[in-house]
Amino acid sequence: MKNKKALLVIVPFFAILLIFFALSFMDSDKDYSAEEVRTLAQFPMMDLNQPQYITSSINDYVTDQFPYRSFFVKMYTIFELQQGKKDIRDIYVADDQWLFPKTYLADFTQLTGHVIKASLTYPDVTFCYAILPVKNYCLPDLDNYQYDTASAENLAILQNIFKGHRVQVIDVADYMRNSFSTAEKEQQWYKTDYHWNASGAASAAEYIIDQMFQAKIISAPLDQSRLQFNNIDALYQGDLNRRFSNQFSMHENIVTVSAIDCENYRYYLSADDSQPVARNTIIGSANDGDVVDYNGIYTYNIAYYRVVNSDAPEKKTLVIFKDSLQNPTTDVFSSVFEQVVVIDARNKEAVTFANVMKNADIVLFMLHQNNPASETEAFIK
Amino acid sequence: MVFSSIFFLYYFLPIVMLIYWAVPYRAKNYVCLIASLFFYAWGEPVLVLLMIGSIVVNYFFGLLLGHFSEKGQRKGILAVSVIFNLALLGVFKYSAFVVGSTNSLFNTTFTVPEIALPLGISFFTFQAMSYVFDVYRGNADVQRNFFKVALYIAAFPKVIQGPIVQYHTIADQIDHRTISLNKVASGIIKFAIGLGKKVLFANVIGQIADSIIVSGSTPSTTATAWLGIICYALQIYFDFSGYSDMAIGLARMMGFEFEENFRYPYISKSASEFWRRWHISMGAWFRDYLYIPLGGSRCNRLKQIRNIFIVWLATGIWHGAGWTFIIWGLYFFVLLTIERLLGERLEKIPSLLRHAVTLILVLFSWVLFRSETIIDAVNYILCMIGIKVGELTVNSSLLLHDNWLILVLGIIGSTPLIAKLARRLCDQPLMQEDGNIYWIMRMLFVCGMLCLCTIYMANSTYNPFIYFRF
Repeated sequence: MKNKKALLVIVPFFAILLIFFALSFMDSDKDYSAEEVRTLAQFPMMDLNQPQYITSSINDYVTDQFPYRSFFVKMYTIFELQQGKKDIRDIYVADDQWLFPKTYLADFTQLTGHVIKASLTYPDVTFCYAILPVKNYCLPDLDNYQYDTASAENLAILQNIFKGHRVQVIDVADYMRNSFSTAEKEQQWYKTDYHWNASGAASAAEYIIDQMFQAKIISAPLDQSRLQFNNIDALYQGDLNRRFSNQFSMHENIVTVSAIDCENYRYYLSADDSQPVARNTIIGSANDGDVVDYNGIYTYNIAYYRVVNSDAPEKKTLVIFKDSLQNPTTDVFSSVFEQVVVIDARNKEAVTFANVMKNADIVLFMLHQNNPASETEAFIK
Repeated sequence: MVFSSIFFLYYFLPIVMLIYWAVPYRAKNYVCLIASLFFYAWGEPVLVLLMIGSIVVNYFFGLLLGHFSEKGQRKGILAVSVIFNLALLGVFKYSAFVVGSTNSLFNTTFTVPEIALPLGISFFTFQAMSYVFDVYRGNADVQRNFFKVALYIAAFPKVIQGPIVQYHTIADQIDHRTISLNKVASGIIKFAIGLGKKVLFANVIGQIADSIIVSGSTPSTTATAWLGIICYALQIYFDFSGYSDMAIGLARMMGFEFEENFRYPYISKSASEFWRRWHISMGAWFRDYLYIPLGGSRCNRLKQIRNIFIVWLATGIWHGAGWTFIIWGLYFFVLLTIERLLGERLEKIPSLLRHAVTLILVLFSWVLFRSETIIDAVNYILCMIGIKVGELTVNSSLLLHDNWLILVLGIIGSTPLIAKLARRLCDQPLMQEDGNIYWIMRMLFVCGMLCLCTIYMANSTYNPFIYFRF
């Protein structure tokens, strides 16, 4: 063992290994990785009947709970971005910092089957299915590598599947894609999020109401003068940006929309006529200078709520089954309908489909074109 | 346990190495053996007993060979040992394939046994056979210490994925080996190179290959098919040679010296040269324990061809229980036979052309190797030659945009270019082997590689070792 200079290699190598080994026992376990949108493995329960799973579970555990793992995840993201990659973490990085999620072919058989069945069960209720767009479909000009391979096919399936049934399809996806210039559409969507802002959402809601009016489902058109748009000078925490450890700019075009008389509306968290709750229980708000995210500035993802507007021009109850793209639109609908009931089936709540349907005049599904909405399907079922 | 995992790198390795270096010399073999059994049991907590059983039986075969001196008796013991080891492989690796194939061919309805394939069974069985062969031939003495036989067969650097170390090349090292700082540092560097090959190249390029080569589907364009198989060729090279480098490096840290297992196979100018550069330890095993005993090249032309046929049929079967592997082996039998028949006439073909043809033939061989069924392989080859395309749409332009750099580096890294550059660098006066700069450069390389690989390992769930299944 003569060459002591070899220690220059041996000592740092084992020092790194041992330091992280020691740190792994000092660091407390984490539960969730925001960057990867998944729960992290925890120390496994010992099951001696299945020893092979114990070792693989421990492997997962030590990897997920590795000291400073979120730092390594961030470094990985930076490396990938520095290489100019376009497809990172199942997100397409387009020019000018636009981020698009990966899209998948969806199986709508179960969902649409139950919607059709419900429309037959409740013949006095009008059923509408608004196919909301995804960002990829609306902004094809930014997708130089044809990253989105599923949205058009999913849309075609949805457009055809309700033909011959008493479900009115409102194709918002094609409307939003074709009725605006690319520059206009860029103002409707958050660059670093899945979602649109209130500008895009309100355009979609206006189109839905207009289509209902054209189809004589409702008698009162939307009065745009009853809506007010507000720009917020805050930093925006996009969901997709979070997966890149916020490597992209948080300066976004943050727009909210509200009805001018929204303070007169009453908000409820149950189907019973109990005490109303404050507006901010249901709808978030933000001030200039805040760091805000999508779920914090529009309606929250609450399992059930309803909005009553006694002065509404349309004396009907609209029941909306939603996904998160609906969130900014509640005030737009509330400005037209006397009662708007919003169901988010992703959140469990002790309310049944039959209960919801008791006072419904119109049922509106507001789900994006790639969303097979298994929770909504299960709720209707 | 996988070398390129956080658990191995940050838990198993430092603990085992520190204990190994700390204990007195006479205890090192025991530490290594216990660590090896733990290592194997981590992946096969139950079937580790099978490996121990194999070690016990082969240990006794060795003792019996040492006890009997009469040629006939020794031959009988050897025959029984070969039957035992092949039976072990037959039951655990091939029984489902044999019964399934019998049912298909003869329309029978035998129940296909559902036997889990023990990790690395082909590797530890061949090493056990090597021990018995070497004792039989007198290439090595009988090892009367059971733990040393166990260490030879089960040593963790090579137990799961090789290299297939022949007993006579390591017998002395089990008894006497030196551990020097130079050797440990050299082992760490070798390990870091292997880790980088695996984590930074094989895993990344493997994801491209996996998205293109899909069982039951064929790519929709010829160009995509070529991209897929080139990626697979790079993946399997970096995967297996990376593992071998890590194994050699780990062994070196403990004082053992294993032979190189890969020498830039993709620069070969013939199939025979390719096999002198690819999985060298397996080629050597078949050469020493099968080809030469059959008569090797010292017999008439017909027998030579027969010998090549047997060796390559065995090589194909060794790699996997499937018709694609058998055909893959026979494909190389045909290539090597043609080369043998052409003899020196092959040398007259321009070097570049020979290289290109060899590379293309090897790429076609990987189609057979990678495909799960013969139909998949045929369809893929038809797609590669532009006769028939399939339905699998892959976003090749995006894959190339995102991965061109790693592919270019991978192609360069599969040639001796980087090694040559490194050697040239080391020839500079400042980089003399005993100089500070030389060692600082090595330290920076090792630490940089370790950190880079940790970043990728902490992120990745994609970490398969292709040769694990053999």
